[in-house]
Amino acid sequence: MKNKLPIIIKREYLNIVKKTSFIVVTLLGPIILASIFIIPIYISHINEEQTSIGVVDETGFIYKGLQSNATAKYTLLYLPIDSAKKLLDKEEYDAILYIPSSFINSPETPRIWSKNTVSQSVMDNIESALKSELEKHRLALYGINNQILEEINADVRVNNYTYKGGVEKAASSTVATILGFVMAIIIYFFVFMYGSMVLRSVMEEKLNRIVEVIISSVKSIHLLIGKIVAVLLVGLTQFITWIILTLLIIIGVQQAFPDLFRYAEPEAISIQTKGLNPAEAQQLANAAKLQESPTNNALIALSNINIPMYILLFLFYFVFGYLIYSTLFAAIGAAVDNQDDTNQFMLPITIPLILAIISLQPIFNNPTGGVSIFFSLFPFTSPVVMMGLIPFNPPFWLLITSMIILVLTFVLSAYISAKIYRIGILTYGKRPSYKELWTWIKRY
Amino acid sequence: MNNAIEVSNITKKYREHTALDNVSFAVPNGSIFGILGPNGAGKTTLLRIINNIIPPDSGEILLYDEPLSDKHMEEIGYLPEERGLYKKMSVGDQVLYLSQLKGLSQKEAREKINYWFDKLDIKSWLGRKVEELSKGMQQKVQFIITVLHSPKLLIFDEPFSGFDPINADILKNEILELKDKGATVLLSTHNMESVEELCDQIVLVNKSKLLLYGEVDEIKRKFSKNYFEITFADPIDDEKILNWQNNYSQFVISKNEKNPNTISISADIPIKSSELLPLILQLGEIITYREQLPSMHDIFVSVVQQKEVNNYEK
Repeated sequence: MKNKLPIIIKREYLNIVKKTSFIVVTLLGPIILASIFIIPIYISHINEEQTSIGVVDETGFIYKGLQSNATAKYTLLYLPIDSAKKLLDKEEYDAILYIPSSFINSPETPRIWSKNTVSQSVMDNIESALKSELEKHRLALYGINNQILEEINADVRVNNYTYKGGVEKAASSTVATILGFVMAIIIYFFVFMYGSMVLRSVMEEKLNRIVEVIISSVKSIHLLIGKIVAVLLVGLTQFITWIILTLLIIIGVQQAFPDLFRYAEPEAISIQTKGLNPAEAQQLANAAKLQESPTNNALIALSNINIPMYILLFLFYFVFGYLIYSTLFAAIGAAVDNQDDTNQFMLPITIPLILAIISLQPIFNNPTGGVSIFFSLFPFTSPVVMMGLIPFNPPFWLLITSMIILVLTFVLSAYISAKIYRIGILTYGKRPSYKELWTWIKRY
Repeated sequence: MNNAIEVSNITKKYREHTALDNVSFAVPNGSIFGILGPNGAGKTTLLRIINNIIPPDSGEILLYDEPLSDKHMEEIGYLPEERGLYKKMSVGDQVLYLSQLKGLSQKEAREKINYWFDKLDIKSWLGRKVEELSKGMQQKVQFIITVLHSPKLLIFDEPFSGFDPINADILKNEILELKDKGATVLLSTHNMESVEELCDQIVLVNKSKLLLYGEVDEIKRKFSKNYFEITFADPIDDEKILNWQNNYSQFVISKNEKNPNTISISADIPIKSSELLPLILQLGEIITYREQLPSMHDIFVSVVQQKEVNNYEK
C-alpha cells in the first residue's frame, strides 16, 4: 500500500492556505507588526514640529526656567497680557503663556491660551520648568544657593551585569522582561490558534460525515497525523511570511522616508569632575557613556542574549506545545459533535495556558522561585513560561528537564488522542462522559 | 476462489450491548449479496468490520481467501449510510482527492473521473462546490467516488435513500453492470423491492444474530404460505365454490372480490401442484395458475416479529 500521508497533508494544507481568512490574516499581520515599529517613530517625528510660545512673565525671573527645545520655542514678550493675546490672531505665536505676579505665592495661577490645544508633552515641560524655578526661588529665600543645589542633586542608576565563571556581561531586566513577555504571548497565541485549526478540521469531517469514506481508504491514525502535520506547516508558513513581509515593509518605509529613521544626536553630557580623583572621574565617564543613548544599555543587553539559541528554543517549544495541544484538541473535535460540548472539554486544557500568561508577571519578579520552576516544568504551561524565562538565563538542568517532560507528554497525548479519535469520529449523539472516554482509551 | 468474503464467528461487543453475536456467512465471488435487518440490528457494525474500519472482538474475516488487512482497503469501494462530502471543495477536486486515497495516480483518476461523469451525464458539475448541489446530486457524486477505483468488492449501505425513482433505476442498472463486469456487491438496504430485483443471496440480522442466510429464491420457497391464485375463463358461481370447499376441506378457497374469474387457495400443509391441479380443473377452464411466493417484505416482517414473539415467550 502506497503511503497516503503526503496526499492528506497536501489537501489539508491547501485547504487552509487557500482560505480568504488565512490570506487576509497572513497579509494583515505584517502590516500590524510593522506599524508597531513605524507608528511610534512617525508620531515622535510629527511632534518634533516646534510650538512657538510667547511668554508674558510678570514676576520677571520665572521665565528663565523655560528652555527652548525641539518641541517648544519660548519668546519673552514685554507686553501687557491683553495685547499679547491678540498676537494669537496674527498667527505670530501658537500659544501665549501668562505667569502673573501672584505666581510666587499661588502656583496654580498661570494660564496658557492657544489656537489649537497644546500637546501634553509641552504642557508637562512647562509645568516642570515653572515648578523647579519656583522651588529654586523659595530655597534661595532660605539662603540655599544654586551651587549647593546642583551639588546635592543625585541621578542614581544601578547598572545590571551577569557574572558567570569570571565573565561579566551587561544585562537588563527590562529588556529580558519585555522580550520574555513578547515571546510568551507569541507562543500562547500560536499554540491556541493552530490547535483550534486542527480541532475545526476534525469536527468538519465528522459533522459532514465524509470521515467514514476516508477511513475506509486510509487508517484513521494517518488521517490524524496528516492533519496535525499540515497545520504545523501552515503555522511555519505563516510565521516565515510574517517575518519576511514585516522586514520588507520596514525596509521599504525606511527607504521611502529616510528622514523618519534619522538618528537623533543625543545632547552632550558634561561631567562634573571637580574634586574627584582620576579613577573616579573615569568611572563617571563610563557611566555617562551608557547614558548617552538611552537604548545603548538595552542594545548591549540584547546582544548578550544568544539569539540563534533563542530561536531554536522558540521553535522547540512552539512545535511541542502545538503538538500536545493539537493532539488533545483533535481528540476533543472527534469526541463531540457540537460547539457547546467542545467548550466543555476545551476549558480544562486551556486553563493552564491562560494561567501561564497570568503568572508571567510574578514569574518575572522572581525568576528562580518555586512558582517559576513549577510552571516551567508543567508541560501545559512550560512552552509559554519557558519562553518568558529564557531571557533570564534559567539553569541548564531546568531547561533540559522541562524539554524532556514536554516530549514525554507529547507521546502520551498522541497516544490518548489516537485512541479517542479512532472511536470518536464514528460516534454521534450524546456527549461522552470522561468515564466513557477512559474506556475508549483503554480499548484495544 | 469461490468466495469473495468469508465471515466466521464474528462477535463485537460495545460497553452496554452486543452488536454482533457469532455471525458467520460467505459471499460468493461475483454475486450481489444483501444484508437485511431492522434498524440497530448490527448491519453498520458488520460493514465497518468488513471494511477494516473497526476490528471485531473475535472471529475472522477472509477476503479473497486472505485474512482481512490494510492492503485490502484499495480493493473495496464503500458507500456508508452516513455519508457526506467537503462542502466548500469543488466536486472535481474532491473526487480526485478521495480516489488518490484509494491508490489511483492523478492521471488514472482524471481519466476515470471523465469516464464516470460522462456516463452519468453530470460533467458540468465538476467545477461546482458541493454546497451548490442538491442532496440527490451529492448522492450521485458519492456513488462515483465509491466505484471510481474499480474495486473488486463494492459495499453499499442504503444506496437508494435520497434518490427519486428514476435515479434509483439508473443506480440499479449501474450496480448490475458492475456485477456483470465481475465485481462482488454487498448491499445493505431496507428497500425490499430492490433486494428482490438485485440480490442473489441474503443474510438477515436482528439483534446481533443471524436469522436467515441463503439464496433469495430458496428462502422464498421455504417461507411459502402454500398460497395459489387461479384465474378461470368464466366467472365461478358461489355454489360451485361452496361444494368444492366441502369436498376438499384440507384447503381454504376464497373468491376474489373484484374479479369473479379469480379464486385463491391456501393450505396449512405443503401442496404439490400435481395434486392440486386436477382438483381445480373441476371448477372450470384455467387461464393462469400461479403459486404466490411471499415477498421479501413479508418474510422480513414475519421473521423479525416471530423472533420477537419467541423472545417474549422465553
